[in-house]
Amino acid sequence: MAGSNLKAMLSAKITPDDILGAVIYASGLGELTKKDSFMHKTVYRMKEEYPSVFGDFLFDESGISPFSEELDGVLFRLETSGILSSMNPSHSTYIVNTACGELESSYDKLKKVGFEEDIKLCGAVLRDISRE
Amino acid sequence: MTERELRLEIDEYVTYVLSLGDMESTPGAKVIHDSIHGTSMFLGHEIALIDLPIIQRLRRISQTDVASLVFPAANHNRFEHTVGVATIAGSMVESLYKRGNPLLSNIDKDYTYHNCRAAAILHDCGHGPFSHSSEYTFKHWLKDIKRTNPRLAAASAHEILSFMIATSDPMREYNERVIKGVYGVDIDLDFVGDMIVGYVDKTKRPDLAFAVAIINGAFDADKLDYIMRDAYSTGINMPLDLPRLMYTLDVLKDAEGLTRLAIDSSGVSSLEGIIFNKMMLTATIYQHQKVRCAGCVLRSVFAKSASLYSPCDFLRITDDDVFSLESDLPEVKEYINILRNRILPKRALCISPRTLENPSALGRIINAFGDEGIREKLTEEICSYASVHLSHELPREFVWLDCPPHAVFKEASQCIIKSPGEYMPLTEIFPVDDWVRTFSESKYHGFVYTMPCHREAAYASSRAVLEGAFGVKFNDLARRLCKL
Repeated sequence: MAGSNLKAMLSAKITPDDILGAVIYASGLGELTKKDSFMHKTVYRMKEEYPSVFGDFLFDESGISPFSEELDGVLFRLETSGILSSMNPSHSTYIVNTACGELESSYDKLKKVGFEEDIKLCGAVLRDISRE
Repeated sequence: MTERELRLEIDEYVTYVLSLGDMESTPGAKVIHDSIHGTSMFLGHEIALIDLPIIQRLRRISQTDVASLVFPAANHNRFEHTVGVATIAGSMVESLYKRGNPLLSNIDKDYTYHNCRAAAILHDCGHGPFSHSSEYTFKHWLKDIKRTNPRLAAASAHEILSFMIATSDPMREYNERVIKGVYGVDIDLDFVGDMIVGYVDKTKRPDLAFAVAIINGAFDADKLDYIMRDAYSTGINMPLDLPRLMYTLDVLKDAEGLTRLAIDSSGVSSLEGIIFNKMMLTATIYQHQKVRCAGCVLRSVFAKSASLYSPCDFLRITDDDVFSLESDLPEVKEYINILRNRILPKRALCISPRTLENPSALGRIINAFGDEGIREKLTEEICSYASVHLSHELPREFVWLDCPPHAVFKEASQCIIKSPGEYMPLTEIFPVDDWVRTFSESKYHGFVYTMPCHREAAYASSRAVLEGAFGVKFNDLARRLCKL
């Protein structure tokens, strides 16, 4: 099949999208709040605890709340791909689409390179912060 | 590249380029006429800065890259934008001090004004030819510097170069000798550098956080100017109520004790206008498919040029030099011919949430197109498929895979709205960022481009290769949206 020799290379490559996707998958959450820059604040906190996992996410700390352009890009791609979606007009919550298998596949990629424990812990942190 | 290596190169560049100008000149104040802001006064020391070759070269750098190939009047340049940003920055400072907020009573107005205007004049001096098109090439060399210096973590590549130029040794020497020595004006180049990259030094200058936001913040002078200027120059009508915004500017002390730039709640509609205008400019101009495809050709010129090895190399040239860049490669000569004579490539396959049967893989495609190595391999595979299965020789130098980077809309979450006794981000009043994001996501599309004679083959082969590589299925819209 055309492009199949590239498929293996592409599925081995870990991107920042995979990292966030794997954490969301590990959290087991079906919904995430969008209020008050939740994702940026949460990943900023997680990066402080797990810098090796979130090293690709650089944060602007000069504004009223931390903001990462890299994370914004990841969220944009997850939203455009329909993996995270939110409802008009409030846009207050992300609905997580686990059925498509993309998040699970990201989790498996990180598992293969030995990040499973860190990702599970980050998933637990995300779950805890979501409940705060 | 390390920060030290870059600094050495920048010092050498600034020393050389300053030697080209009249360094002994001490001009007086001048009036400058501008198509957007009308007539403005620039003080003697500001004219001295503007006259430096590091700023004059901006006259020969297009503000909107290659947009003039699609919007014929978009020939405005970084120099006029720079003058516009300085004008708006000055007006913002004036408006703030007129308001009489006691938080500003101990901050010298002249100091704020002069430093904001100097930062505005210097803010874009790190741009290479065709602005963001060349930045796309040299930004990769600055990745390590962004990671290692928290001051530069959130800065774009051209902002890092502007910061380095403003804080270079030769600029410091010029500042001491001319700006301070001759004009007696106190410009702190370290503070100017921070303003350019949008860095708030929370321990050293908590009372001046608002000034940083005037130059690089949620609704800074840069954005206010480029929205008005790009709309005006492309002929796209987008009103922006700048006077109302000026009346509603204020400052407040935040929870960390920083004096922040804020907008009175009566100015919310002006802010929403800015954000909606930015969204429309992105969709209409910056991500216009023809502008993107001309940008692809231009980036190929930069990538294959034999004389561009470091970010500083891009500072030594301007738009006019690009068309005479040296290369032994015939394709580079052809790229330049394509741009000069506007024989632009055409769309062969559309990649968007609507053209994929299973759009959940779209993010992986966007990421792959953004990775130079993977993009090369995909292109190679597409050309090989065309040769083997379609008996069509598709030259890999003339196939471009492009998924535009996402547009960042952080204004609403970072912009502070002031109402009696409290403050809040704009998003709390109205989730405008979510609305513009939904629009941008719905409008999002990438393309495979090629020259007209290869379109059918490029369509069939890129479709087959991308479907195989990413496990996706394109629908018929992927072809129809290319007008094939």
